[in-house]
Amino acid sequence: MEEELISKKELLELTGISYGQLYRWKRKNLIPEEWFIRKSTFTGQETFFPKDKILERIDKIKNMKDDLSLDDLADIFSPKPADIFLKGEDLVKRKIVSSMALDIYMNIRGNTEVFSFEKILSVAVLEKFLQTGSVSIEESSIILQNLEDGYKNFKDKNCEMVFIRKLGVATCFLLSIPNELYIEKTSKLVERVNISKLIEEIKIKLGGI
Amino acid sequence: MEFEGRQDLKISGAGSASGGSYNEVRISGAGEIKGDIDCNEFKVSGASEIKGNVKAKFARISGASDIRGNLISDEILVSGASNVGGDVIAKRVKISGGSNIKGNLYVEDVEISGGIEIKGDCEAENFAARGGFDIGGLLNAGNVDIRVGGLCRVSEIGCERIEVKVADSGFFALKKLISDIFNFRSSLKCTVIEGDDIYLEATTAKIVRGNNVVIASDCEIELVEYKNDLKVQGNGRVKEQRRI
Repeated sequence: MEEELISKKELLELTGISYGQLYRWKRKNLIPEEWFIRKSTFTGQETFFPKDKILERIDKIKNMKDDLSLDDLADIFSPKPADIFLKGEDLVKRKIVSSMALDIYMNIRGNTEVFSFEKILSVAVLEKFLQTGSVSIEESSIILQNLEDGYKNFKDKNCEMVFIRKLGVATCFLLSIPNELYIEKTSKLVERVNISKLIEEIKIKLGGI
Repeated sequence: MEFEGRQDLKISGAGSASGGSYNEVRISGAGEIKGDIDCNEFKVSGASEIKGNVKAKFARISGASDIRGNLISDEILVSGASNVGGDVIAKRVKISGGSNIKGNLYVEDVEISGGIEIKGDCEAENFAARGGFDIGGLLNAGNVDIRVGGLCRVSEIGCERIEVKVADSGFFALKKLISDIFNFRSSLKCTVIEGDDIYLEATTAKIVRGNNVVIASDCEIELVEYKNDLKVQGNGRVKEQRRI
């Protein structure tokens, strides 16, 4: 999967931001270090960015920077879990997860009243997988188990969940990002969900915390 | 209080200690600390060797100090020679002696008046330097204020505002006299400088990109790309200029 890249100069032209802003946002960790890709060109070294990701991020920063401080924004974009506890009904009310996903979660994990951020994330991941329609409810319990066991190794880091099926048997992995993945022919990559992006979405829905 | 009930650690002759949590750590002879240190105040005036990380509210290094790991502190004052193997993370850093950082420097305000060598990147809101420095990676700062006295070298600068001027008072005047005799020029050498407002003296760079750019005396720039305004003053030289 080759990502389309955009040079720094093109990026600034396209978005209308200045060098100062770009460097400021980098300093504030609004733009992750690994998006700065250095390449040799005929004019010397130049910096490139993954086009879709950086355009989406800059658009978000521009939209939200009037309401939130840069440090608040950095919290939203950071892959670190937030410090928050919410009741199940509030999660549904605030449209963070659907009531169906919540029910399925409670069927597997038992009745839960208060949800920590990690648990909210678990429900959201579950929902993402079930929404695709290619993962059954029974299979979703292994996703849940893997996330609960494995996620602590990825705190502060970007990661994704990959779901694979071979001859009807399902399994899943947590992988750090960026990664490259090759799967043997007889297996099928059913779905992959970017956990870090999901965290960002949840944090935005939680309202800037 | 966070540090209440903690012991002090004092080494005044030659001595060694294991790491741990302390209130005050004071090393005035040759001291060796074998692990990580977490303390309120960290003061070194002799030669010290710390084999782990140092985390302190306040750190003052006036002798020679060798820290193998990272140095994390609210405020750091260095007046002797210090050597840090990892990253330095702080709110305020003041260096008047020599300093050598193998990793990166992350700080809000940094003031350098001696020499400093950073192998990695330097990120600061305010970066002020008088004297020489050598930064191997990117200098990313809100405000960059450099009074060149000696050789300043950095691979790249990205900032909001930068002002580079030649230092001309006292000690530096003497230095200038000496350098005139030996035909050695104080300068800032850099590959790329990118920022919003740029004022440069005595700078040699390949590419300068910015909104408002002033290239003044003793500059040698291969390419300037500017958005609003470019002024070339004195004997500043720009080989190629483009408005974008």
